[in-house]
Amino acid sequence: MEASVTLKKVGKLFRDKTILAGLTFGIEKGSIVAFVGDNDAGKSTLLKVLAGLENPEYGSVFIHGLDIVKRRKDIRHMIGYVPLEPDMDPWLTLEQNIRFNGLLYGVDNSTISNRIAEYSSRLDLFDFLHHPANSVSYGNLKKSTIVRALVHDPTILILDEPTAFMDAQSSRQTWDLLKGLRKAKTIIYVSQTLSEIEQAHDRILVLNKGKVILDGSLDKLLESTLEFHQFQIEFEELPDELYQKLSTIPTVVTPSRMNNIFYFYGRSRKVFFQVLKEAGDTLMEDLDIKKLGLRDLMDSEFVRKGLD
Amino acid sequence: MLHLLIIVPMASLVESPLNNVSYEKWVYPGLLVLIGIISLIPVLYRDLFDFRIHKKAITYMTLAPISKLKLIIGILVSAILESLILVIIGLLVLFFVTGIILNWGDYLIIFGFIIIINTLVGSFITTLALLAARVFSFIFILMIFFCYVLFGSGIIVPLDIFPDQLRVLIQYLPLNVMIHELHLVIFTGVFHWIPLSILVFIIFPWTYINSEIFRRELNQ
Repeated sequence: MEASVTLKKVGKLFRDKTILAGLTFGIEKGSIVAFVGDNDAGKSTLLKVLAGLENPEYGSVFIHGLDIVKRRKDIRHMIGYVPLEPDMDPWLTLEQNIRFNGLLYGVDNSTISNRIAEYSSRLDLFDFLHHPANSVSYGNLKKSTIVRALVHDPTILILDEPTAFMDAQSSRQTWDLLKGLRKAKTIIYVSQTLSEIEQAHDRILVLNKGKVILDGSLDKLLESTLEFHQFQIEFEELPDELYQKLSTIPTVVTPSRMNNIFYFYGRSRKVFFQVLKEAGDTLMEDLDIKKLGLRDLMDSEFVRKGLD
Repeated sequence: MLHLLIIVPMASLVESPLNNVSYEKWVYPGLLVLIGIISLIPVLYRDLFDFRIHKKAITYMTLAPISKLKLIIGILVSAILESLILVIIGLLVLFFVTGIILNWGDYLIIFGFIIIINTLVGSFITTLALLAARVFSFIFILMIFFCYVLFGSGIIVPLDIFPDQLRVLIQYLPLNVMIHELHLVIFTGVFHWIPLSILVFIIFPWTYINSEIFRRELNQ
């Protein structure tokens, strides 16, 4: 497939700290790509570099084959960027803000009006368009930054926490809009809402300390861990001796406890019965088994060490 | 307020500073220049400092396919236009307060000078707004500059009052040259092209330098 964005050994430093450490990867045209990672993993910085807001210290970023630093002017109209925090002019109305930015991109007034009408109706923003930016909620401001990013019809949409500050319905509307734009636009986003990422992605890149440590679809990422289950047993009382005894069962992986609840991972359900056997007559109050998901994958110990 | 708090008491202290022109009449063009300078500050502060450091609105604008130079020029021109509107309002208020009226040619000259002075001062405020990272340093330097504009530029206080050594030092500062030339044109009809041309010429490289500072500050 044709690459929309290509990074070659892209690095970014802040004083002596490495924010992005020589990233090299490509993003296919028309795909939805999510970046996840801990705080300070370099996700937002990477988005700023991709959007052209900041230059990398070394390496190159290519947008549709054009170098983002050398061909900056040619690339600008291809990119729409939604920052984490709304950054509208507080004294202008939402519509004036969006229109002004559209005009900066050389879009004519009637096209701007049509796009504002289309996207704001899909995001249920129409009633707020004539309100000054300093008088609307953060959720509506965030929605208006999405409309603003789309008003010049970019081919690549870069979003930092697309549904931040939004209520459940607004989040749904936003994702309906973004999923509708799939194929027509390449969508690159960062989110801490893992359930959203599980629902909307073609590919997930997990960042840690400025490096991509995992890359692929959720199923692919979980391939090595799909056989694993997370078990949870709540005892009426979990003495230390019993916890030690259960933890040393060879098939029990990464055991932990919280009060009287014993957590562990296991490759098959047989492990569960081994634990029950070892627990003997100790009274249990609750049992839970669940398949592993993105949240488990993001568990730092899990990502760094793996289960085996 | 400027008139009541500064001009009225100064008029009783200063005798005719130039060509037997009364102090009130002498200070009149400078007062309009001062209104222009004061009205520049909030616009440039908002667009280049507040929108860059706090609200980030200008950072987003830099993503558009227009150069930093065009952005800087656009902001400066809009700030000058806003200040000219406020100067016109100030002119009307001053007319009712002082009753001083000049001929149309003089007003045109004053507005021409205000545009040049505002571009120079605006370039200075732009540099300051782009380099300052904290509101304290921006306000602190601006207050020092404002003290100079008020008392050392020849707008309110005639330079004749200053000791010779100090006068020699400050009379060649760009703003002092402009104000001196403005007074000369209005009250004696003498016009010097060379110093004015030099000052106008300074504006172009300065604007370019400001756009480069802007680019570096944004790391783009």
